[in-house]
Amino acid sequence: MKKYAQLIHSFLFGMLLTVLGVLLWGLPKKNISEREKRILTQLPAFNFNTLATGLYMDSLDAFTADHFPARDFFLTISDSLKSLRGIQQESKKVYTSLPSVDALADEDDSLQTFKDTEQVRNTKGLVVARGQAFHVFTNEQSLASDFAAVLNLYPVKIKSSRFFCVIAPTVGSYKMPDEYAAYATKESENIREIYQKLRKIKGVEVDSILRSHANEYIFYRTDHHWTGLGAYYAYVAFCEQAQLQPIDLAAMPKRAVEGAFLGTHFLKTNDASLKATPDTVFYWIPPVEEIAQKWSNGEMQPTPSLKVNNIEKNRYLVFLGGDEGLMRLFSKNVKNKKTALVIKNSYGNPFVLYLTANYEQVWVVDYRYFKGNLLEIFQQYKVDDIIFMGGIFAANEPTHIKKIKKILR
Amino acid sequence: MVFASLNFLYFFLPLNLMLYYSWSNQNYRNIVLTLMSFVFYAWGEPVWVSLLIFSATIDYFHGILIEKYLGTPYQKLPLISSLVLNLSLLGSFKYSGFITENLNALTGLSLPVPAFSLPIGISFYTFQTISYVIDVHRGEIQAQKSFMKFVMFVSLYHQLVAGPIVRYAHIAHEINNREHRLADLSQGISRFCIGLFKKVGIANVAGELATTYLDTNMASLAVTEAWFGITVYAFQIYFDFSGYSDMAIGLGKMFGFHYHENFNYPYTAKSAIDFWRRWHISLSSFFRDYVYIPLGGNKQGLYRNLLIVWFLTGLWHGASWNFILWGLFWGLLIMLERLFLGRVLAYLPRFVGHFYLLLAMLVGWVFFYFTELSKTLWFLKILFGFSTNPWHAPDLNIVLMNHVFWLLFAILFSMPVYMWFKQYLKQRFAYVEMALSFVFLLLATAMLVGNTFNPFLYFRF
Repeated sequence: MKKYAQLIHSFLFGMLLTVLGVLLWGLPKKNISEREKRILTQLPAFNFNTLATGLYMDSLDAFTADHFPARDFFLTISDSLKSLRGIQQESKKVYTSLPSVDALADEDDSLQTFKDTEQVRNTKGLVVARGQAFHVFTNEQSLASDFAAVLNLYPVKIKSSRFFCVIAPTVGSYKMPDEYAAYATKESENIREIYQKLRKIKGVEVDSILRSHANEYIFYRTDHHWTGLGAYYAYVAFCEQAQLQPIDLAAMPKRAVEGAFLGTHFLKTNDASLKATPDTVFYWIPPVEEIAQKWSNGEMQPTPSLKVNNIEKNRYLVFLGGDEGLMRLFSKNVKNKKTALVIKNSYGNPFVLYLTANYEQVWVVDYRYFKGNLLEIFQQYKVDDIIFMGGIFAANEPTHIKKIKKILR
Repeated sequence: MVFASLNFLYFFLPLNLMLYYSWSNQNYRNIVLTLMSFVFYAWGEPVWVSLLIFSATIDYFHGILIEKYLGTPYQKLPLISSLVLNLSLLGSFKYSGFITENLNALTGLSLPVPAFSLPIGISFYTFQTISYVIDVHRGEIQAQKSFMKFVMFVSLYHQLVAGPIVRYAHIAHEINNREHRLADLSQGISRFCIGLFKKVGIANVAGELATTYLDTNMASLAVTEAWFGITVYAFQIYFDFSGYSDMAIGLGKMFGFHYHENFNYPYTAKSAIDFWRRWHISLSSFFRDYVYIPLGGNKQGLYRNLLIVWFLTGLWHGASWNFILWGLFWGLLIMLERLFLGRVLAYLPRFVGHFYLLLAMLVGWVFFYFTELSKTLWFLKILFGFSTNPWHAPDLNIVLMNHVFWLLFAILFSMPVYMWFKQYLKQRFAYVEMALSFVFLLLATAMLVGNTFNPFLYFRF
């Protein structure tokens, strides 16, 4: 009896390994994982060099993991095993080892949906509670002084303009679970510290207006950005500082991007409770000319201000169509000859659109992708107001600070 | 290649089993196993296969020479020649950078520091061949006359890269003429799957957690976080290494070899001496038989001998001072236990000894983990409250709750629960074990597919 069992055991084990192995190499390969929104590893190039250095084998391992038979089935098991590790309090989870966001940003343009390189240096990780993801900002290595010092270079080099700085907090400032309440105040402290160190630049305090609207849909649940509405309140706070008349929200037609939006926080965690509560991307149509310009192949070329098609992979791209090194927006009805320049990362994308209600032209520079020298633009064009606009994590991230300095060479 | 990878499980292993068992001729089987071992080794660093074959060739001829001159006045010569060659190979590849750096620091010279990449498993296979030539010299075993079989012994991929250190004497009979039993194959499979799950299901998870708390900004690490971090690191290193040994033993059984056990529930030990009878047994017995006892054991120069053995044990783990300190730390505890501590512990209730050992083990891992002494000391200060760091961080509660079942599982399986089950279920256990092996295999596969985090700790050695 036992002999038979051993025979069956050994045979089944051998068969299982063989069959899965044959399927692995025999089945047709998929190129893209819809589930993870990324390109799967391709079979590495085979030559003497990659073989001798062991590089070929390393990529082969990644290839195997990406193309394993019944991969989705195994991924589902793997995910449920993760939640079985302990008691997920009120479906609250802390993700400590996160794939870097860069891993999600692919070189290929068709998948270049998550270009954003906000890093996770200043964080203890992501907390997911009640279908809302939080990026925990701990202020351990606050770089407020470095960041302020770099911004302070701008008024020294560019004399004729007014300067503003808008730092966006995250949803953690408003809806943090109780255990993290101690951290919740850190963001506003850090922002205040930055503003205090600015010279000739006005810091725009957006915390109180966001707080008074905290029960509205001002941040996404599954993505690290604020919503079009959150950005609008920041715009109102900015107008107050800049002595401008903000456009009324009701004066702009409200639209929603078709389909559910699952953002970067979902992609990083693959969290089931986030998947169950996807976001909707709402946008308001300001008096902006539908066609804007972007710098591409050595000249300014037409590009839509609001991109409504082909954004299924990342619906946040509706604002400006994503991040471009240099863009120029035109107002439909404002003819006051006033020009604003916004130096921003992706937090600025919904924000800059509203400015067309107050400026005839808005230049938009994404400091991460802008390849040129800002000073050259100022020699040609007069800019009335310069607004720096970014998220709090980037403001405390050395690579971002370096880039903000670099474009001013 | 590593065992806990999809390419090993679903390509290499079935291919190896198929090729091996399709021959009935023992010589062909040996050739298959040797060639497959080369492929396995070459998977990571193809160039170093040559070093492996070179090393095996040297020791093959030395073994024969030693046996030939045994009993003559020249009998020591080939042994010394072999030891010099083996140790200089190990020395140049593993320790040359370390030695030059220290020499430069001591003398103020600036000799160029060699930077060899460490050939995988060199510490393991060098020790295997050293034990072989010494045993031949002692007349305890006969030299292997077949070059083919000797190369197979040195290159067997089961234990080549991460141990256990298999003594030739233990498997000499099986190298020459082994039997293949169905029971062994089935048990080997079960054992392999247990090891695989230990590695993927426990060690990898522990590894993720450990890096969060150990590779962090220490200025803000809370005391409880530090304890948690070093505890999960202890789980990582135990389940990683003992899982690897389980897989090696299991693979051996699948191909008719019976390797000795390498771990015996070390975290249940009640003293440092007890711990080292249970942890990495093949290494501690190597140092006992080939260094400690030849030096005079406990009869002549006990403390000098202990010092040398524990210095070497530390050094074997890596060419860095932190490993040496780690070895000496254990050596010191063992000396203290021999002097008086052992007798004191024997009077006290058992849990005191156990608590002492756990504490010592955790402090030991701090030395093991941090390569910079300043970090080690800083971390120890945090652990024992000699810092201004906070006592507790609120998010540790959540991490604990999120991992509570996994933690209980890890604690439970550091104890001989598996053995208790075996005694309780008696005959039926064999069937349960067979069924479990599929569960372990599937779960491990799922985690490997879903997880790219898969480093092997003992690859450094």
